[in-house]
Amino acid sequence: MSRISDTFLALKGSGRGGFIPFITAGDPDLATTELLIIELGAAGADIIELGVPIQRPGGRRRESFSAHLNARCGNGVTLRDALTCIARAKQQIDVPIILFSYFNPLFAIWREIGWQAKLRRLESTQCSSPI
Amino acid sequence: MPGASSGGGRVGVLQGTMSYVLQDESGQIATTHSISAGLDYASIGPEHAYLHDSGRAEYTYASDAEALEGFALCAELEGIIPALEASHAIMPALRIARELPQDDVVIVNLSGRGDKDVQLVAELPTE
Repeated sequence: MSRISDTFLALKGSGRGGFIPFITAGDPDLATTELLIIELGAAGADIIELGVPIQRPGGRRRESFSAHLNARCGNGVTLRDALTCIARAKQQIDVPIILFSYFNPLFAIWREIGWQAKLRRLESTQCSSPI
Repeated sequence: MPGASSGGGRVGVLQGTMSYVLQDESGQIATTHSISAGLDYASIGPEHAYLHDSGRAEYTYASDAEALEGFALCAELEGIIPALEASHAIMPALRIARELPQDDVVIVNLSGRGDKDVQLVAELPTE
């Protein structure tokens, strides 16, 4: 079982809803994101979803969730930055983190270092799950 | 004949399709521009990627200006208004034709009609 499943089972067992905030890496900067992860964890977040900004959502003519991220985070934050941010925050707080990324940045790392190495890298940051 | 996407990019995944994708080193999809909406995309169809890799097709590109030149030339000489997407093929085809013997036949596949583009072209500033 993953930490995500464990968390939901525990929530169900205790009969309460979960607090699962979503934040965007690099909004407004990575230092703040790291602080937010730590503070949200300390404030009782059951799981934290961390979004990785995407420069170009599915076509510039479309309004989309990703476009919202894009508008707020034009500061060049990458997937690697997000992973580093998670690893640093995890030194201070233990809360399951879901990495919310467009697929291609994950694929780009896979192409570079290999799939197994990528999984190990995610594990090393203690990221519970990528989406 | 795809536009600028056929001139670069590396293997990636965009909107669920693996093909050549214009992207930066971290995998962020590049922003693109083309005067034709159908080519304003950061990737190419995977069949084109396969044909490119297998060596069964060669690809080239055309700028917005060349596409417009091809658009006008085809309308004037042939009485056919090609779509701006297909217009990208005309000037490269002429370049290729100049290198071929007089009796050779060159086929340009006009994959779309340009009625939809006439207003856009008419509204472009004239030089």
